[in-house]
Amino acid sequence: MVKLTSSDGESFDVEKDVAERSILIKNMIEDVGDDSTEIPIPNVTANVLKKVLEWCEHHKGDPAPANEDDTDARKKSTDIDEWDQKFMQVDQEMLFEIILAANYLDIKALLEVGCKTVANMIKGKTPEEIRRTFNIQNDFTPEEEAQIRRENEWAEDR
Amino acid sequence: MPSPSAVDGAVKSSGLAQNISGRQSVSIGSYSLAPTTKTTVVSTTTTTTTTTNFPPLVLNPPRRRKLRSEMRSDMDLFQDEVLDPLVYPLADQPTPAALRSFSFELGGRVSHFSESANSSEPLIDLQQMLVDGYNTERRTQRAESSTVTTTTKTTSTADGVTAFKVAEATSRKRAASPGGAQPSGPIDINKAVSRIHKRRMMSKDQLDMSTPSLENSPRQQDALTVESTVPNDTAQNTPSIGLGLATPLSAAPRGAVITTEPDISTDAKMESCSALSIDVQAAQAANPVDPLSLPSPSLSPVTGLQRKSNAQDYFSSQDEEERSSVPDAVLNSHAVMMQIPTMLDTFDALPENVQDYVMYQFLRRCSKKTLSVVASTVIPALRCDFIALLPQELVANILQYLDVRSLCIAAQVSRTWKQAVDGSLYTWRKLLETDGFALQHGEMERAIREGWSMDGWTKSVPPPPSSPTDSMSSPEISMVGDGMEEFINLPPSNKRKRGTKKKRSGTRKYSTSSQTSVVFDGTELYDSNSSNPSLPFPNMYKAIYRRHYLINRNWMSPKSTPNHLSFAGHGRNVVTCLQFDSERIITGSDDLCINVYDTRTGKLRARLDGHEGGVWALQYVGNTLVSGSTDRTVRVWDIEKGICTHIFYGHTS
Repeated sequence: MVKLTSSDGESFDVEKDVAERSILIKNMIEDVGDDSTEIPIPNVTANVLKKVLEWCEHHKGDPAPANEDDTDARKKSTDIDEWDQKFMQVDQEMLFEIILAANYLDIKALLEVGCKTVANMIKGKTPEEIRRTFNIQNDFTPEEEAQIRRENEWAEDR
Repeated sequence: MPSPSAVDGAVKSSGLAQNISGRQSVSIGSYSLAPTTKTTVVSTTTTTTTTTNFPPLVLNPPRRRKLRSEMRSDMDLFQDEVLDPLVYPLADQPTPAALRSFSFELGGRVSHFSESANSSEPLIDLQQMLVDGYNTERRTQRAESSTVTTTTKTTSTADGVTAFKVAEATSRKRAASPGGAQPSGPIDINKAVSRIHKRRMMSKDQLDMSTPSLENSPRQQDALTVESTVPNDTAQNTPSIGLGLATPLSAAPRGAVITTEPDISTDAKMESCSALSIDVQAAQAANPVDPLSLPSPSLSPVTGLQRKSNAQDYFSSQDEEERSSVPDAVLNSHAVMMQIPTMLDTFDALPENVQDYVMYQFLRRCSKKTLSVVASTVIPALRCDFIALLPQELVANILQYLDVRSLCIAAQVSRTWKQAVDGSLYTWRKLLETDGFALQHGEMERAIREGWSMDGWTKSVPPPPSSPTDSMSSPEISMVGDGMEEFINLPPSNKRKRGTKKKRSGTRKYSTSSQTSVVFDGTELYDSNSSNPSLPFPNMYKAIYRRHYLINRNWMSPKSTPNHLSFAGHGRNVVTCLQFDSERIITGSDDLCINVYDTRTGKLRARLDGHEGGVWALQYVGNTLVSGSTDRTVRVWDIEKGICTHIFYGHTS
């Protein structure tokens, strides 16, 4: 068991192989050489860490990704495993935090799922729909907008 | 972190809910405190002793109170209405597990709150307990020290009754304190208070009774009950608060705290049960006020709180009496409004996860209309502009999952997004690879030189001096349709001429006065367009991608048809050499002439005469053409002017 402490001071007792989904933690444990010490996770708050650990728990048995080659093939698709999809049904703030945490903790697969989730939120929408989805202000002037639209219309389906 | 189960004086609270009047049920929350210092003493006796339990918080099911007089003046003033789940979607929802049980720190103490999952049984127990046992407990408690009290309470908790533990009590007090401060505030509560007092005359007796109890066991609830009675009486509340504070552990001002705050008042009832009659009255007093708050929908979350105060479920008969006695609803309504600041202060004072819980209770009391107001506020607030907020490498990570179409749409969202999408060389280079558009050798240099861009907008970029090394590599020109024109343009080597050419050819739809310099030093692939500083010059990889994409699409599209153009050249004479770009085709022939044609139209633009033998070799760079002939001379031409500028002799063969 490994003890992780979130930035707001909450501790989590986690199985070692769950915690080691995080390369950061894995390396830390190796460096310390002793998994009984408490590991501080200063950049992640308790509610996010809890969520991340939930993911790690579910994916603890996953085989390690073979190598870089195989990531390329996966990259083309934004398909997300059903469990992960459900897991990612959180508010955007949480999703944002999860992505940051996954990046910080170096959990590649979780980062991938998070980024794909965001990508899927962007896909197939009009600019206005994207603005609404993410609560973004359109800060282009009308002229600029027209211009940018012209610049990018070549990619539109016809 | 002390866990809820921790030994010390941790107070545990349990929650109960009971079905009352149909599906909507009372929720009971229990609080427990764990005072560390005192625990040691208690713990020796039993584990249970350690925890200090507060009387359970009973949260009445959400319901709406209506002012009856609005409908029929002679009837009871208020009427309860079970909330229609169609309008109040959350009213029947059980509290989410995540909100059901949590620990928090209050006044330096770890407290625990939990709501019991099974509402009905505990409630009954609780009622029973309240009626029978509570009083006895109280007595014992008074007699004994605070620790004892805790023990007794614990037992009650075991019964399934949620108990508010000490922690709660403290929290309550805290919450109450703002209320206490209120009298000094701008709002004139006195009127309301006085009203209430009158109303309460009956209850006052009871209050008085409770007061003695206070004296007996100052730490404990006594003050509580009293306060609970009158939500409006800030004055009364204040003293109670003081009491509660003074006795942190033992002070189980059960109902008291709760009552002070309209929202909490429901809970108070349970505790107040010990002083049954008083509480009821208090609740009733509170009730009439509540409905009044309803008129302002925007305030609905707040009003929801107040509704809780109805103790009617339990003590309906008493309530009835009380209601009838209520004199002036309007005045009360003002009083309710006055409560709003207190309520908000109270809420502010709560620990975060208690706020979660309370807010959830509010939401249960909201109609869909109110919920949608809430949603329209909350949802945008939780939205988050990933592209703008995430670090650049993570943005690139997200963008790599987008196809070209989505990327181009994303670039139109906002400046930040445009910058993120168009500025990401990585993304577009990657996309070139993944879509199978291999970057050809020298293509980037050529793109820069030729000023490939996204459309006519930035197209008229004068390229830096260039070498024609790959001039033979544009076979696609022959099949380019109209749509390709703007981007296949190869700008001539100097701007002035380009301008004139534009007019002449008339094929370009866009002309811009902006002059953009493209620097390709290996790192900087775009820079800003001077006429439009806000819009960065497009990423070269994107331009290259676009070109590949369009060429590919034109190849694949059945709709695009290649133009075939043939024209007479040098009569019957042999064409011995040729060079072309997207603007012109230059041919040398053994008829002694060099012809310059327009690539697009095939029109003869210039005829360079002078060689006395057949022309067998030629090459041009920019506007300068060099040709070699069988007359053993090399001539240098100005293509635009059509004149020979130099003649070199010397070859002998």
